Amino acid sequence: MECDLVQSLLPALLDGELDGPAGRLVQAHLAACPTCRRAHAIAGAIPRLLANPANPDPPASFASDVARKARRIHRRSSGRNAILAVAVAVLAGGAGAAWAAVWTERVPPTGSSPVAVAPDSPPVWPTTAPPGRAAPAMPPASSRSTPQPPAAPAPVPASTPTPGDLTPAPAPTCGSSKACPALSPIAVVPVSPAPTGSVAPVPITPWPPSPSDTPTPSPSDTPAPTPEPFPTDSPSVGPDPITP
Amino acid sequence: MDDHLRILGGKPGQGESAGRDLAVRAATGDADAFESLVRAYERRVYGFALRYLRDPHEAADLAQEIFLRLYRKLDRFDPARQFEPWFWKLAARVSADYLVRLTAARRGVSLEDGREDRYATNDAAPTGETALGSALSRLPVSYRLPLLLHYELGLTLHEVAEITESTVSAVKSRLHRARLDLQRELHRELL
Repeated sequence: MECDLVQSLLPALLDGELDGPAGRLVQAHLAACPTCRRAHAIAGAIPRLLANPANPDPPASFASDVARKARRIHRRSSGRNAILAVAVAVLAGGAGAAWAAVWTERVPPTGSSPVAVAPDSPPVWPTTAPPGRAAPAMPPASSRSTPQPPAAPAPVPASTPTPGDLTPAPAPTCGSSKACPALSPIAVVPVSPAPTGSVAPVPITPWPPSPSDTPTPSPSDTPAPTPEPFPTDSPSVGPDPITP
Repeated sequence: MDDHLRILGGKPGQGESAGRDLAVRAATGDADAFESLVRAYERRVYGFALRYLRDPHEAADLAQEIFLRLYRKLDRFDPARQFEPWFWKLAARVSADYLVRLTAARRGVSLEDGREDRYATNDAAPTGETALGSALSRLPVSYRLPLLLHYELGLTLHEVAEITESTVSAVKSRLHRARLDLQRELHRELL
């Protein structure tokens, strides 16, 4: 048997994968061939040598460099977590504040005169000014453009529901001179049709309520007034900027 | 602490409990424990990386990447299990990924053909190279990696196959071929 063939079979022999006649032939050759016996010894040593290597020293300050980078990773990670926590807190706080603002808007303080305010209406008065104008101060009710008595049918944009549609009733609010009636949760009122093709200003509920303002506790015959944005020079039917 | 850390520089498995204790403490954010863990394993990790890549700078870079990956993954270590098998498996994965990135960055380097692989035929062997190390340097890296993972790090054939994205039979074939090449190299050198 050729030495090359025997030596190529040594790994298999060492792993116990060479049984039978082939294994016996290789063993017989090893017994007679010192060169192949030497190769056999080397092959047997390789796994042991690989499992117990001589390890060189790493570069100086290797461990401290790695530890410093790990600390940097830790700080970055902690910073990210802190920012995330603050962001979550701000978002949660903002959502809470928004909810509180809406809720406060719906339930005015006891003692004020009731004013019709649509349940879903945010604050009546805009806080931002149109382009080129200063932010409006709250004018007296009498100086507003088209104050609509809450009891009168109000024109609404064409996109509002037609009569028969179900609209949440206005939540009554309290005036300063009258006792606050009990707040009804939600009632259903019919909505007047919008004048087709006309550009109508959005009705607004005056604030603070004038003495002529009357509460609209009855949901049956009172249209839902819609808050009006700050009056502009020309009537507009643009969307209420603060209505969700 | 330093006394028992020196013990860890020896054979795989030595200082298993010390390594596990350090890993558990490091996982809780103990930076000193992590640095001790690095000191405990740096020689073996760097030595493995050097035998694998045959380049001292790349080896230091790989060793550092292994430890930083360890740092990020420490929270996943189960203290009820042994640390070293878990750690060496992690090191093997990082090593396999590292070479893929390295070869992708240096196009034209083939993983399969050792003659074209600078990491397989690096003539400038590291200082203090043993006969085995010198023979290893002439192996294609596709043979070298399973050899080191299985015999040096003690990973099973299945684990090696998983990490090298191969089959168990392919791993066995490569191990057989790698050992045969080493045997011939050593035999020639020692004659």
